[in-house]
Amino acid sequence: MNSIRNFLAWWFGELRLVFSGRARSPLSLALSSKEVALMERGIDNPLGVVGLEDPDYLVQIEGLRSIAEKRAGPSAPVEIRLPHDQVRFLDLDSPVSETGVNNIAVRVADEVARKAGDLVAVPGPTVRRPNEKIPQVIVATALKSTIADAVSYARKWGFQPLRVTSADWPAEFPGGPNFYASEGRVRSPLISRVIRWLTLLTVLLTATAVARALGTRASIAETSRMQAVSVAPAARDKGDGELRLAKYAHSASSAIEGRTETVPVWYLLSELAAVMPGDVALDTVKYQPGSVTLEGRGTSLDIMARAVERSPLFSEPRIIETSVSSKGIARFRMAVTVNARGPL
Amino acid sequence: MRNTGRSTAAAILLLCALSAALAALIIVPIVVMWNADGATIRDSRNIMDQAQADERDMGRLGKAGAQWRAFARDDDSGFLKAATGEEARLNARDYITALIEAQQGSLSSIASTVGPSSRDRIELIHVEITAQIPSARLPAMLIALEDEPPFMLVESFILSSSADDNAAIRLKGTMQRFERDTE
Repeated sequence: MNSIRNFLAWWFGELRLVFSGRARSPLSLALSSKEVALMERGIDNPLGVVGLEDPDYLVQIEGLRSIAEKRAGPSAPVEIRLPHDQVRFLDLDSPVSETGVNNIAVRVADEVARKAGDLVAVPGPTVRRPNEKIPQVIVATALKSTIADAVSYARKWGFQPLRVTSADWPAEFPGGPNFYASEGRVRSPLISRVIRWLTLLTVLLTATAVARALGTRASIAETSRMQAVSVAPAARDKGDGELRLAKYAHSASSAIEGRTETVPVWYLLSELAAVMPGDVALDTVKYQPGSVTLEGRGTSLDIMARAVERSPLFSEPRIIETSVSSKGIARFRMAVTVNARGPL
Repeated sequence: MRNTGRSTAAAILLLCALSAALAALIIVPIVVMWNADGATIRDSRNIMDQAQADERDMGRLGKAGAQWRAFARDDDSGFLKAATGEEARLNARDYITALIEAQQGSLSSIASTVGPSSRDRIELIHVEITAQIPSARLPAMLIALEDEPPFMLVESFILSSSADDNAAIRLKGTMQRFERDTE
């Protein structure tokens, strides 16, 4: 249970620091009584160490500042880490407060046998210890003078101290204690608060809009589904209707179609009359579908045959029988193919 | 005690991963619901569009059907007007007789039968006539017979001239009766 609580404390602590709006440096300046080390803050990788007893330690510190300027910016912002022996972590019965009977400074002062006015006490998370009945608040404490000296030295060496913390801290204490924080902020607390509220408002409005859009769409879907269900049967007889109409039309046009598909007798006879030479007389005309047989008398049968062939209605005139009567007039029987139907 | 150890990057990475998982948890059902509703709307609209198109088509069919029914009732359709096939047969005889007599011809014989057709609602009246008509009036008679409703469709004929300027004609043809809707 504690490991989960520790994990959450670390995680939320880190995030709180990230989103606090305070300027953070990627570098830390670890102080001790004998040396000063510049480190990469996240991974504690040393970039340079200077012994305070070295004769040219100020030159070397200037070298560290130069590195810090290149890494973190022109003012060489750093986080200052106090040595282990300058910071104490205490477990106090919860709750703790700034004033009253739970006054943290007084209680810490009791614990470390110092005056409350000499100390800076930073409360951390509340944890439940296995052997304690009351939940414990982890409190980090350091002397005010130590903190002031650290800040003062850092400034003197040309660094900009963003915050002062300890060299390390308990796992339950996320981000470590904040004994000192510069006023330098990435953005003002007001802007941070505005951004936070605007973000919240945006999230709420987005959620509302999404919910409303989903609801509306679901409603439209349901309405259109109901409409579709109600209109679907209307189209049931379309195929049958088309078939019935086609059959009806096919039948109703029967007489007209039949008339246009056959050669009218009057047309066939008028065409024959038009192509017959003047010296030919027809006695009989027999018509069967596709052919007509002509019987008659005349002298110019060849001319008649050619004239018949020229007609678009007739073709293939064939003399079937001829006999010559008195005065050179021939009796004939001729078969002719009827090509096409008559006029519409 | 531990060192600064866990990096801020890890915390932010964890936040991003958790946010992504949470977003996926929220967004995926929303997208699924959105798409499902979209599919429903699309399908429904397709059905409604189809139904409207069908309704239009049915209207068009109804209108076309009415026009065809009106045409079938009209004389120009070329059918014999009769309630039954037998009535149509008798009407055909009367019609042809009147036509020939109107052209000062004389009808020698007329035979008619009623038969079926390959088309629905149609009955064929087969007619065979033998008549004498003045040659000069033959075209008018034939035009009236073939080009004026009710139409006769001539299948075969034999036309012979005679000395008295009359034409003898033997003609086989069909006329049609249409079974109209009972309205």
